[in-house]
Amino acid sequence: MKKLQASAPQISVANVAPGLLGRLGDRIITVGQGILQFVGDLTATVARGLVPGNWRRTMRSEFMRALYRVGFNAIPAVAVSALLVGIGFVLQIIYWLGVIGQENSVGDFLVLILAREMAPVVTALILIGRSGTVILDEVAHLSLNGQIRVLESHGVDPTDLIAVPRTFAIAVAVFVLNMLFLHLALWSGYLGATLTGLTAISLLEFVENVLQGMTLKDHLLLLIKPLIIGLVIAFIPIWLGLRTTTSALAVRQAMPRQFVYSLLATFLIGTLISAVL
Amino acid sequence: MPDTRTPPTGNNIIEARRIRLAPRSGSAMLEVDLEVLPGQLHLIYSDDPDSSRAISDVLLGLCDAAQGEVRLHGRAWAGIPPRDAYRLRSSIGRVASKGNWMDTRPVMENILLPLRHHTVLPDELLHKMACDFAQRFGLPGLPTLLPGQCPEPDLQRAACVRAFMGRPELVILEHPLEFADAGLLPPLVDAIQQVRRRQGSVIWFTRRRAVLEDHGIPADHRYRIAGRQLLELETSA
Repeated sequence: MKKLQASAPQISVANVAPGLLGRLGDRIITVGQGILQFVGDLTATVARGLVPGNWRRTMRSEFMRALYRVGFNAIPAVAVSALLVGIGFVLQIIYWLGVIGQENSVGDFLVLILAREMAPVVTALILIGRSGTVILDEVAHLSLNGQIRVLESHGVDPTDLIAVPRTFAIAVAVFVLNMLFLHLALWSGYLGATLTGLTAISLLEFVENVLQGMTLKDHLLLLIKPLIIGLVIAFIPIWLGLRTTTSALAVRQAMPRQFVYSLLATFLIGTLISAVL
Repeated sequence: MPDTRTPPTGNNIIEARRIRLAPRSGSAMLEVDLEVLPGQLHLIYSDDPDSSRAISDVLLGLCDAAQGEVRLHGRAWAGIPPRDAYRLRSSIGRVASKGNWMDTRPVMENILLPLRHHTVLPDELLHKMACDFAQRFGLPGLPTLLPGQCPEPDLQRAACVRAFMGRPELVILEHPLEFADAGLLPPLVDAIQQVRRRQGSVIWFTRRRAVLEDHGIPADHRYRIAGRQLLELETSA
C-alpha cells in the first residue's frame, strides 16, 4: 500500500489543462471583465467631462483641436455620402410612394429609415473609418514612447488631457455631422426627385410631411443616439491605445479590433436606443 | 496593503527606505535607500537609463516598488488618492530619459503644457517666463518646431526649461547632459542652486563619470549603482 502511494503520480490543479468548456469559460470571463472595465472607465471619463469646472484650458484646447481634426475635416466625406444617399435612397422612396399613390407617407418613411436609423449609423461609420485608427495610433504611440508616463510625472492626468477632450469632441462631431447628413440627404433627394419630374409635391408639402412624421421621441432620438454612439466610438480607440504598452506590433493588432468593436458598438447602441425610443 | 501610518523620519521631501524595484521586467532587483531633504542635491551615477527611469518612476509614485514604499512629505504614495497624487506631482519637475515630448505638438507647447494645465496664469506671462528660462539655458527663444525637427541638444535644453519652470520643489534630472554640449552645465548648475536656495531639492542621474567626480557641482550626496544596490560614495559636510 505504502509503495503504491509513493509511486502514484502527483497531480495538482495547476497542472491540469482546462478542457474546451474550461477554455470557453475563461474566455467569457475575460471578455466580461473587459466590458465591465470599459464601461467603468467610460462612465468615469464622461462623468468627469460633464462637470464644467473640470475643463482646464489645456483640455479646452485639446477639445477644439480634436473637433477640428475629426469633425470639421470629415465634412466633405459626410456631405458626399449624404448627397449619394439623398439621390439614391430618398429619391427612390419619393418615386415608389408616388407610384403606389402614397406620396403623403413620404415623411413617415424618411423619418423612420433616414432620421432614426441610417443617418446616425452612416455618420458613425464614416468617423470610425476616418478617425478611429488615427486616434488609436496616436494614443498608443504616446503610451508606447513613454510620453503618457512623462505627462503623469508632470501631474497631468491622461484621462483629463487625452480621454475627456477627444471623447466629447467626437460625440459633438457625430451629433453635428448627423444633422448635416440628414439635411443634405433630405434636400438633395427632394431636389433630385423634383428636377427629374418624379414628384409633384411642393417644397412646403415635403417639409410638412417630414415634420409631421416626427414625434417627440424622434426629436429626442436625434439628440441622444449620435451623442451616445459618438462617446463610445471615441472612447474605444482611446481605451485600447492607453492599454497598448508592449510594442508597435500590439498597435497593429489592436487596429482591426478597434474597428470591429466600434462597428458592433454602433449597431448595438443604435438598436437599443431605437427599441427604447 | 502598505502601512501608511508609520511616521516620517524627518522633514524630508521624499523618502525611499530600502525599497526594491526591477528596472526591467524580469531583471534583477535593485535596492534603493534614499532620503532627500529640502535644499539638497543628490547626484547618482547610473550608466543604465532604464534603472534611472525606474527609480524616478517609483519615486514619483507612478509605479509601485516590489518591496517598500516611497513617501512624499511623509505620505506614502500608495495612500494618496489619485487626484491628490496628480496635484502633488504638479510641483515636481522632470527631465526624462525617454518620452519627454509629445511628437505631434511643437516643443513650445510641450514646455508650456504643465503650467497651462495646473495654473490660471495668463498665457502671455507663461510664454514670457518660458522665454526667459530658454535664454538662460542658451536657447535663442522657445522652439516652435516639432520635437522631431529639433536638434537633440536643443531638446535637452528645452527639457531643462520645462523641468525648472514654475518653482518646482523637487526636480528629477535623468541624464540631462546626454546629448547636450558642455555649455549646458553652467546654466544647469545655476538653476539647481536656485532651486536649493528656496529649499527645493534635486535628484540628478548621470552616466558621465566626470560629472560625478566634478566637485564644482555642489552635491550633498553622491551615489552610484553598484550591482544591485544604490551605493553612497561620500557625503559632504
